[in-house]
Amino acid sequence: MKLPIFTLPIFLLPQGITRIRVYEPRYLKLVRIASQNDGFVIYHGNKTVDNVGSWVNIVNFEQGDDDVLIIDVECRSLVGLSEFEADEEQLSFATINKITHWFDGKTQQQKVNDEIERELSVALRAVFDEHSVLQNLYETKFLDSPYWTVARWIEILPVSYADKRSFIASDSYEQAKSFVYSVVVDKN
Amino acid sequence: MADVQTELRNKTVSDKPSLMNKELDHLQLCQWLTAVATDRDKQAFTRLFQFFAPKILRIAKGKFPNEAQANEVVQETMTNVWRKAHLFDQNKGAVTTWIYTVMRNVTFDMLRKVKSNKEDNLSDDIWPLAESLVTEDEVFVDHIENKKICDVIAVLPENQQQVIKGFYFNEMSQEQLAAHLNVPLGTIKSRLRLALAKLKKQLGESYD
Repeated sequence: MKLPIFTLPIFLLPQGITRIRVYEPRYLKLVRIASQNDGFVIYHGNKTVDNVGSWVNIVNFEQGDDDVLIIDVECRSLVGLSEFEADEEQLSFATINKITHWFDGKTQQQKVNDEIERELSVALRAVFDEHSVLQNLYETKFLDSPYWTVARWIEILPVSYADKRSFIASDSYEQAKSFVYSVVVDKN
Repeated sequence: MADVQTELRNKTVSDKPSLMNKELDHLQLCQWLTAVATDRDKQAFTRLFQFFAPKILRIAKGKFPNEAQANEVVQETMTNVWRKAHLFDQNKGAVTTWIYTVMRNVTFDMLRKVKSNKEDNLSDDIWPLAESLVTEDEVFVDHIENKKICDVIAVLPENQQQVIKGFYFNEMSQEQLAAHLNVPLGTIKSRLRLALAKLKKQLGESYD
């Protein structure tokens, strides 16, 4: 399947939601295509880094105070990209291949397994409580799910894309969990 | 007598509103620019943009034959306004004067660039530049609310600005995280450094 690409250096894992302002003609076109078909892909655009993007669906949209279109998008899965091409309006398209991620197949009903996961969940709840923009972005929060919790933490931590992409690997959940824990929980 | 009154009324009608508008404009523009400088007020910036963009575009079109370049002047000027709003001193002159000075500098820079005929062709390479900027500690204070975004945008080449301006980062800054966890910024920096070092070690081991 070929999907249009929105070039943005955003790291978004499955079920992650972000808000995008759309005003460029090519990206307004992307929104039209995406809402009629099967979503679009957010990709950082640097092929020398990797060809991995986030396949997203538009879950909400509104008009901003400056009349710019604002869309909320939710990541359905990570995808590998190939066969890039661009149309006459400089909108890129690529063929997608789903990439298996540690988040896949984890139901939201999962309960925390250990003290680390419990602490991360409590800490993330506090972040959501404090930041209304984030709070409002997620209609449903799965703060009891350790996978959901760790994925959201990875997205919001101030770490470069190059480092975050370590957590794309399907077996990187434990690394991600311990990484977040060592940043957000005071062990002294 | 009646004629004089009519004349007076006409005079009042024609003069007063324009004078009032002018005064209002100065006061209003000043408030908006101050709000941008002190509160990073996006709405105030939008108002400034709406007021100045058409004017700047009109002037720029007289200087550049190419419409894209004229648009670039608008873009560049307004991002500089956002970035440098705190440098505006209302005791030294009007907002309009200040913004037109910013525009003049932008125009000169661009004319120099056109002259030397060196185009930045970095279009496919947005990531490393944006990336290196994101890691600068003081740049983002408020990612989630998107208020500092223009600081970063302003130093990107035009084609990259176009892309970046379209979105909200939903990542926290180091300052936000430090404030949220109620620990010093230095602690966050060292925790991140240690966590990354540990991660790289783990990754190194798994590659062996």
